[in-house]
Amino acid sequence: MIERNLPTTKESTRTLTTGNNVTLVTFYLGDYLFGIRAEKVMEINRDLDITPVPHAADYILGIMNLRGQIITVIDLSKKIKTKLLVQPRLNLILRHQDEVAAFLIEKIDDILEVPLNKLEEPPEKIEGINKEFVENVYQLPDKLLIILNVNKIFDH
Amino acid sequence: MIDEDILKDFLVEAKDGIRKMEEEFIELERDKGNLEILKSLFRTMHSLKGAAGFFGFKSLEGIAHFAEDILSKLRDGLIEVDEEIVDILLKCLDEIKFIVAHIEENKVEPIDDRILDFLVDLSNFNERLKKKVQGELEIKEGIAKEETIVRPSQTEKVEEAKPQEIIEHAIKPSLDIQKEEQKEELKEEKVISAPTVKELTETHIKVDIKLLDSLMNLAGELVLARNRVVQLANKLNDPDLTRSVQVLSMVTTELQETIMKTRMQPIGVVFNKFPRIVRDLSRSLNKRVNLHLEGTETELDRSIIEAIKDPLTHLVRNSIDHGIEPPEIRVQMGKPPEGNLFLRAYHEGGQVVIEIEDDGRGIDLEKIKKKALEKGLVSPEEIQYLSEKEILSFIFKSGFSTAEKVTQISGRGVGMDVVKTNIEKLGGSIEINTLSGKGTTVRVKIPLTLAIIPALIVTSMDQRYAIPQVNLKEIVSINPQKDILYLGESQFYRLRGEIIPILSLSSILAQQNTKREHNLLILTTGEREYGLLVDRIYDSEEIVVKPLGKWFKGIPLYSGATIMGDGRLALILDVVGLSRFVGLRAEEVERAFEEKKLKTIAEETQFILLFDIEDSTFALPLALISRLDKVKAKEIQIIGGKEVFLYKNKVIPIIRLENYLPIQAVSPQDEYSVLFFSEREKTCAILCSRIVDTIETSLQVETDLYVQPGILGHRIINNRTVLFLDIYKIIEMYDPEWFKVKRYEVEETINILLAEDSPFFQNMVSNYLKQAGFNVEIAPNGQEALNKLKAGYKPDLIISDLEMPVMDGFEFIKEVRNIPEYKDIPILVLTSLTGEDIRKRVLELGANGYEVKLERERVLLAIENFLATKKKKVSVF
Repeated sequence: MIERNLPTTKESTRTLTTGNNVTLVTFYLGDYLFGIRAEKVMEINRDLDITPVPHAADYILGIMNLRGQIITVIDLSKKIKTKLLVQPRLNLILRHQDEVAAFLIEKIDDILEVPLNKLEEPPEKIEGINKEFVENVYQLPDKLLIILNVNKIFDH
Repeated sequence: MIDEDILKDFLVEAKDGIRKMEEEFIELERDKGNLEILKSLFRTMHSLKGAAGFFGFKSLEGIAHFAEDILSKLRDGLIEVDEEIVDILLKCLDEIKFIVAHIEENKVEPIDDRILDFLVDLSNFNERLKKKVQGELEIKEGIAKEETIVRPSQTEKVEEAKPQEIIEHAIKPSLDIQKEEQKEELKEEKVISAPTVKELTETHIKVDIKLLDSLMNLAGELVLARNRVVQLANKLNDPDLTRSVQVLSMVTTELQETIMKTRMQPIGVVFNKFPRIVRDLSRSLNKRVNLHLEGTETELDRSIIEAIKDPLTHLVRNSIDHGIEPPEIRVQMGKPPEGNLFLRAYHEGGQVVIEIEDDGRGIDLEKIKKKALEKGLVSPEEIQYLSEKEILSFIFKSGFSTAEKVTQISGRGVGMDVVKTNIEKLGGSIEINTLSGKGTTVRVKIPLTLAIIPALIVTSMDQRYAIPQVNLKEIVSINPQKDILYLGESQFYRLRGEIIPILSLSSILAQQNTKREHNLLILTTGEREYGLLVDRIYDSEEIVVKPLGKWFKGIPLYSGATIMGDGRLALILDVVGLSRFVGLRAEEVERAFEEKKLKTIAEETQFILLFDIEDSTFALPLALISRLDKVKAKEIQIIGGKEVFLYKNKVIPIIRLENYLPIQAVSPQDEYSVLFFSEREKTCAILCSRIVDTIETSLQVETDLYVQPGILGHRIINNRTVLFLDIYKIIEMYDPEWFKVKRYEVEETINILLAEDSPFFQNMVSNYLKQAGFNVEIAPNGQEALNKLKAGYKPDLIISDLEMPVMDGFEFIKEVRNIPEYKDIPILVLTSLTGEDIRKRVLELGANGYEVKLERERVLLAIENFLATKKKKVSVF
């Protein structure tokens, strides 16, 4: 079983791993299955009220109130340039250093543990996605899991 | 006598120190060689001694002094820690505790023979230690034995001056105290007479700021939850529920307020550090400085208090280092040898103002100019156009220091640029006023708190926004169709005669204007005012400022966001950023319009209206025009040989410029644009082909090409020659009676000296002065005006602009008032700079009046008043 050794530091540069595994939260956006390292994920919630911020970048949907903290809501599909199938309704709330932001996703899938050595470099081109934000890919039996680089998503 | 607050601080600190030392002594017994503990003990005891000395608590100081002495010997390894020493130190601590407890209750030291005895013991013990250190190595037990015997005999033998003195001091106050009080002391003593004393009651504890922050967040959440409960209770309408919800509501509000208060601290916390800094600094610089602290009780948010400490220290150091002169120089200058430094804090308009004022030599503007040129911050041509304020602003440039030699005080790598940045980071501002030889005042304005600010809630496109109350001047309800002047792309509003630009919040934010915005907020950035149109206005609320994420750093419009009562969010508008955001675009427009070569620094700008009469383009300052409208050709009638039309039940005469200027006539149109000009209840209208636009620009014109009555000059704007109209002249040509004012004392000629740099205003003002029957002498700047005066010209009145090259108006007034024979000539300041602070400043400098340039009527009235009072004065003598 997975040893639930949650990182104690908030600055989670440490990876939530058991031995040589990495734990990923996976979700759907458009046609793709994405993964994000679990230690970056604070929580997932649904449909909070978004206040628009005029003149912000086009991938910024606005801000919302997460129990007294004001966080930025980001349209992940616009950010990584995928096409959506349905209107995303779920907030995947990520923390990176001191910033917290909500990313809209369509559907949450699973929590997966993946051996580190099975992670592959992303292919030259992934149709319909800005490769800049892809850290690795992982071949599932029926699908390709695209692992996003949270640092890059926050920094660019 | 003693400031209660300071005493309270002292007690908190002392109790803290005592608690700490108690722990450390115990630790010391366990770990005798621990140097760190010894050092820490020494420091704590040392500061206790210092503080006790400051308050004049002699016994406390004495005990702390001896204890410190012992600790220093331990620390330096001269003696070793043993039980006896720890015992006596702990006894010191007990006595200190007793004294502190007594001070807390009675504000004075206890008078108690026991304490005096103890002091004597201590002194003896210390003596012995000293001897021991001096060489005679004795065995520890020996000392212990001796100690028990020695006490009584040695009491009289104390010869060392210092301890004796301390003991005497400790005894002295007891003699001064009234008997009655003594009795009370005695009574009390009985209760506490045992060597160790009652527990110190804790009135203060230290709390982590983060804890307070999270408490405040939670309180905010509680308010939101409360609001929801209130709504539900109202729906259910159950009397019991309503009552308990009311209680909940009240308690919640009170809780929130109390938590907010926990973050407030008096600025004295920072100010009280300065007596020491000032003393040390003035001593090391051989200067004499009296420090005056005012408004130490002014409260500020803790985080701000922390953040202003360093900038203030820097400013105070600057004042002493660069401002206040050495005593001998002060005496030479006729000042008292002691310099005065004022540190002042007070509330003003929701902000806290901190002033650092010295009566030193002031800032040498010439030195700054020289330095600015050296550093290449400004070109030699530009520098002569700079105003005093602009020159002073170089001080805030990075790497700019006026200290000629690097002293230990200056040259620490912290410049005024850092001070400015730090203050601005807090949402504050800083300004310098200086008078050569008289002193310098630095005024720092900072918000009360970073966290909670009063703000007005408004809506635009159904979204709520918060506008900080600090920036709000007034609210005007307007009729958008009638009251807004739409000129080109820009909108304006006439507020009590002043034309101010207005912005529409919905068009700034959403680039569209769906609803009619009926509410106009007059906002100020501190430098300029503008109007902001919003859809609706709600209440003013205290809002909690929360930062926005890093994704919004590049947008100047917002300074944060806040959570409203219903849990939803509102963005907080940054009033300065808003004007900058829009201003940037206005600048682009201006750049497109303007030939670059005409751009000089330090010139006044005005909104001017551009209009066409056939193929000629004219310009007029917008402020001169009372209204703009259109008139249909068929509405124009000729009555009594004059062209007129009816407007709002009034007959308005029409002026055609082609009748007075050599230009092509307006060709017949179905509809004409008309510019209304009103004065003294009279209105006329200038007919033009069309209105081109308005631009904000300087009134720089060239006067050589079109020398023609009615034209002030020309200028190339957007590749077109634009003629600047002298409307007063035109109207006079149209109707010589228009401006005729009955002046009674026509028998004498009145001479006016006009100091004004802009040819436009030179012409316009001198024209209307001449029309009114005055003789006008023009000087292009303060220096030339001064030269004229020095050459013997004696006007009846001086009119001066403020913004002028070479010598500005401020300097000019100062200079004139310094010449005895000219100090009674009335000076009227005529300016386009508006603002209460400028008005105050020129009046302080010795001007007699202050008017805005374009207000011809008021200017003339002011002149009449001056001359009338002058006459009266003459007739009295």
